[in-house]
Parts: sequence; structure tokens; C-alpha cells
Amino acid sequence: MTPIRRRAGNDDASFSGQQPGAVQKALSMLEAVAHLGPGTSARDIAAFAGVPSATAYRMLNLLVADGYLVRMPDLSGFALGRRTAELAYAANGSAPSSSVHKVAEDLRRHTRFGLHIASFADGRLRFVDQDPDHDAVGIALLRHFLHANALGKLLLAHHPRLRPASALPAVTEHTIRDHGVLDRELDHVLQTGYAYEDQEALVGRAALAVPIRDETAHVVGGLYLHGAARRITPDDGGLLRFALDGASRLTGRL
Amino acid sequence: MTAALRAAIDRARGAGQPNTTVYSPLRALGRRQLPAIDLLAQSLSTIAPVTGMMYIALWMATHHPGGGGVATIATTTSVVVVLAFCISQFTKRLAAAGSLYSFVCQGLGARAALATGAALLTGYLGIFLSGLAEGAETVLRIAALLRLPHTGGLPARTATCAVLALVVAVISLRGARYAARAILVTETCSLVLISGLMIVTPAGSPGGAAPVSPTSLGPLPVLAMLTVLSMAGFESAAFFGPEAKRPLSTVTRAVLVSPVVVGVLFVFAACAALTGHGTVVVDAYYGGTRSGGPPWMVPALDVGMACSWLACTLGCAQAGSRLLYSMGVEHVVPGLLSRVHARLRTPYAAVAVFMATGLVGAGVYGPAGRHDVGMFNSVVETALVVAYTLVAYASLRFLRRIGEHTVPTLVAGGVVSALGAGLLAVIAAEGALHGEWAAPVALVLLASSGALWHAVLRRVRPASLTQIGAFDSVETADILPGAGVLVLDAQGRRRIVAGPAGDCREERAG
Repeated sequence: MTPIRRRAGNDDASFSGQQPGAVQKALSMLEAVAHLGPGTSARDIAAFAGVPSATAYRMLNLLVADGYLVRMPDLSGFALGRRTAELAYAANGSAPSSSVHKVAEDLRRHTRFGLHIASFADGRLRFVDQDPDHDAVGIALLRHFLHANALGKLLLAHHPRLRPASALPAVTEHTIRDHGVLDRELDHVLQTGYAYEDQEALVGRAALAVPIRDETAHVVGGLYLHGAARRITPDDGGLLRFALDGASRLTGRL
Repeated sequence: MTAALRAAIDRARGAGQPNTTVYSPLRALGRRQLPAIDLLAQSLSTIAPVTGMMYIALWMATHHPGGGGVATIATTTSVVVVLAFCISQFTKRLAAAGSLYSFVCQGLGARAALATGAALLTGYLGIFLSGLAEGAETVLRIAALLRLPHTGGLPARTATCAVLALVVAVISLRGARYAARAILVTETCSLVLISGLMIVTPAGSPGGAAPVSPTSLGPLPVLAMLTVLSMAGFESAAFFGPEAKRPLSTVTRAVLVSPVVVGVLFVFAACAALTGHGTVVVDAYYGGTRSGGPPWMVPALDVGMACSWLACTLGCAQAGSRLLYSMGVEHVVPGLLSRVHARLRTPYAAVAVFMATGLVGAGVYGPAGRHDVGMFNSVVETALVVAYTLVAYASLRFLRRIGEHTVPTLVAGGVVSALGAGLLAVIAAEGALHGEWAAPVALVLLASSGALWHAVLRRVRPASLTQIGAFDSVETADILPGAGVLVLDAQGRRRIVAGPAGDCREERAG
């Protein structure tokens, strides 16, 4: 229980360490939703958690605002939100460590683009810290079309055995479909230290990815900056430097 | 961590992606971009506190209500803060581009929402077109002071209106964030300028050169109404819920803080007028160079006021276009209005339609409306009070429906609904007694607009009736995998059902 409390306390100003009781109540309300199932009303949650109703309503609104809970589409009840999964990492000490999240949150304060952290563990692309304030990027889309996004290209460049042998499907009209062109692009990734996608996975969106390394300098993940096409470009020296500095701060933390 | 929560999280790790992904109906807008400061800028600019301060200072200088006037402004501000508390019950729980229109739907249903939509469109369009006309007038006065040719007459006024509208349209289309920053800079400049002038100018005797529309009500009720009208738009940050970062927190804060900030500014202006400092500024603005004030003051004031009018029109255009966009998404108005620019993510069709309507309105208002500004204001005022009263009452019904009401929300909703209804009755009765029919007629038209619009939609586009009240609802990616699946039912409504591994318990009805 202790690590969870500390984690929640570190995460959010709404539940600062000065309010251990509030964190306890927040967790008991999440527990209530997990137990009672999707659609549970605020009143039922308050009763189950043993929290006064006015306090419960206020805290439920905070939990929804932060993505730990979601409101039902008719607004009358609650279900568990995506960010609840982060509590598990705090409980068992596995990735993403609180420091990854802290660094990512700090970096997000300095960019207007979506900033996501991905891991390449076991040759598989998965997000370990997604930007809650920007459009969610579909991990399934990225994973299925590695050649069509910057993170995928980064993974392919550093794990050549994953390079696709079959035909490269077109996701948009800008997607690379020729193996020769893709190979040259992946070589470019290795030479320059960054990968770029320009409307290749989603029309109107571009992204930049730079590698995150472990203590032995192996590439174990990527920092992914995602935003409007023409706004995100590798020609923007400041942006690229920001991404590279961010990735170096995450070295050894994935 | 206890068993159920741990089991849910473990299930999330093993859960695959849902077969279908359901998105928010307002996804096309540039979502989650605006920080809290831009939301506050939006609210403050729509209120245009500088113009309100000038009117209040003028009114205090010409009617001499003394300390009672200051108390009236403070009391009215408190009521608006309670109203903001009612609105915050919605902003804490949903982010909607339709603001009060979408909120009322959650509490009172489609007909009341449509009536609120009509009232909001009337109110915002009214403020927009008067702001545009007044802004053009002020710009022409500056041009006349600079001795530029052709600063009088209808063609010059129309051309200036068109140029201002074009500037506002370009900034609005450029993006919500860009517009909010432009608004913040413009409004802060004018606010600093006018407040500074009110402090540094020596106390003078009231000139009384200013035009004040005659009225049948007593002085303090009129001052209260003037304060309410000057605060109109304090809730306009709510139109940007879908585009705000952490909207449920930041929009709520902006809605609650705006009336307090503006109330303090109005009390400051009233005190400045009471001590004589404001009168020099008021005389210089309304009396021009003939007022006898320092020669630099007139152009300085005109520049400050022009900035404020521009910020006000920008704020209204931003808010009004989001309302039209939301209605376009629901097909309550032609679906064309829901078009969003692919790169800038702004609702360009709604902006264009709102601007065009406002521009035509400003063309009519310029020569005609200004002569009867009292009538025009009473229509705008009535529309806004209708919208605010409906949202206060809707907050009661909404919280009751979702079972989250508390004693403060019940009291706030009850008090504001009763005050709003009472105010509307007084406006209607006063108008009828004194033969000023604009407000009573506006009230009847707005009250019947909801039912009328609903009947037309039922005949023309019945499917749209189920879509009213669209807001930035939960998406598939927001839900913990395995904790529920977001699906669309046969009527196109969103529902969360327990995942395949669960007990298939469906979303509970309200």
C-alpha cells in the first residue's frame, strides 16, 4: 500500500502528500468502482467506500479529470480509466518507474506537442507513458504498421531482424511502400539518431522519435513527439535538441 | 491494493484491443491544447471589462447613487458568482463545445436546450455586432483625430466594420490558442491603460456630456442590470472544454474566477467615479476633445477602447462559432457548419457563418440600433437572462438525475433560478407597462423557440433529436482495457458495457 500512496502523492497536486487521508479515500473509491463494475453511481461508490457524499463527489470529479476514472456516456456513473493501470507499476515497482513518468511530465511542460514514451522490450512496441493531454495515439496502428511511423522506424532500424519481408501496406498516400526506400530511410535513422514520419500513419499528423538507451547504450525505447504536420519537422533544430535531451534524461530508466 | 482493483489492472495487461474504437463526437476540434491562462483570456475578453468599467463609471458619474451603487455592483457580482457555481457543476463533469446549450440538454432535455441555444445565439450575436459597430466607430474617431480623410458616413463605417470582421475572422481561423493569446494581449493593454488613467488623472467635476438611455426602472435596479449585461460572457471559457488541457479542472476554474476578477474591476471603476477620478476619463471618452481634458487622453482612450471592442468581438466570434459547430455536429443546423480545418482544427464554416451574420447585423445596427440602444440592450439582456436562468434550473435537474446533488448546489440552483425567473417577470412587466415591447416580445419568442425548433426538426431531421447535447464524451482509449467496452447502440448512443470476460452488466440508466 505504501508505494501506491507515495506514487499517487507524487503524481498529482490534487492529492498531495499533505493529504494522506485523501489518497486513502481516492483509492477506496477506485476499489469501489472495480468491485461494483462499470456504471456504478457516485452514491453507491460513496456508500461502498464509506466516504461522506459531498467529499466523494468532489474526489470523483478529480479522479475523472485526471483520467483514473471515466464517466459513463450518460454521466450518471463511472468506470475505471486508463491511468488506473499506472497504479500497478507503483505497487510492484515494475516499469514505468515513477522517475520515467516524472521526467515525461516535466518534458511535457516544455512542449505543446504530444509526448509519449515507448518501450521496445522483447522487440515489441508498447507505450509505457502516454500523454494524457493529447490525442491518444493508437498503439495497435503503430505496432501493425511499423514502417509507417517514426517509433516503428526507430525499432526497425535498431532491430534489423524485425524488418518486414512482405509487401509494405499503404496506410495513407504518404506511406513508404518500397523496401529500397525504407532501407535507405532506416539507414538515415541510424546515421542521424532520429526517425521522422510525415503523414505516413495519419493524414495531417507528423512525428519525431529519438532512441532511449539503457546503461549499456542499447536502444530500449523511444521518445515520440506527435503533432500537426508541418509543425513537427526535423529541420527544427530546437525541437530535435529538446527530444534528444529528453531521451538522454531517460537513459537507464526504462 | 485490494483484490478487485488489482484484478482489474491485471486484466488490463492481458486485455487485447477492442474490435471497434469509439471516438468523441467533437474529436475534429484541436483537442486538449489550451492551457488555463488562455481559457481565462477567452472569458475576460468576451466580457470586455474595460467597456463595462467605462459604462459603470459613466453611470456612477451621472446618476450619483453613492455608496449604494458600489454595494449594488458588489451584490450583483455575488449573484453572478453563485450562477458561476451552478455552471461549474456542469463544467466539472463534461466538456462541451455548445457550453450552456449542451449543459441545459443534460438537465432539461432537447426543447429547453434549443431555447437556450436560441438565447445564446441572440446574446452572443448581439454583443458581437454591437462590439463590431462600436469598435468601427472608435477606429474612425482615431482616424479623424489623425486627420485622415473619409472618416465619416456610411461607406467608411461599413468598410471599417468589414476590415475589423476580417481581422477577427483570420485570428479565429488561425487557431483557438493563437486567438486566445491575441485576446489576452489586446485586453490586458486596454485594461492597464484605462485603469492607469483612472488612477493618475486628478479628480474632476462630472461633465454630464454622456448619453444615457432613459429608463423607467429605479437607478439601482438599472445599475444591477447594467452590471449583469457588462458581465455577459463570463462563462464563455466553457465553449472551449473540448480544446482545453485538463478541461474539467481548468474550465471550471476559469468560469469561477472570471466574475470575481471582473466584479473587482467594476467596483474599482465605480469607486474611481465616486471619488471623481473616473469622471475625467469618462468625459474625455464620451465628450471627445471638447471635454477639456489633457489632449493626449482622448486618442489614448480611443486606442484602449478599440482594443477592448476588438477583444470582445473576437471572444464572441470564438464562442458563437463553437456553439454553431456543436449544433452542426448534431445536425440541428446544417451539417456544413461542423466542418473543421484539417490542419488548424478550427471550425471554419461556423466562424464564417457567424462572422457574416454579425457583419450584416453590424451594418443594420450602425445607423439604426445606436439611436435606440436601450431597446437593443434589453433584447440582448433578456436573451442572456433566459439562458442563465435555464442553466441554473438545469443544474438542479441534472444533479438530481445523476444523484450527485448536495446542499450548496440545491441552494445555489434554487436561488439563481428564482432570481432569474423573477428578473424576467419584472423585465416583461416593466416593458408591457411602459409600452416598450422589445423585451417582452423577445421573451415570448425565446420561450417558444425551443418547442418550435423541436417541431421543425422532428419533421425535417428527426435523427438529429437524439444527437442534441453532444459533448466530448469518453473514448475507447480512455477506459482501462478489460474494465468495460465502449459501444454504439442501435440509436447511435454511446454505452459502456462490461467486457466479454465480465458479467455483461450494462451501463445503468439514469
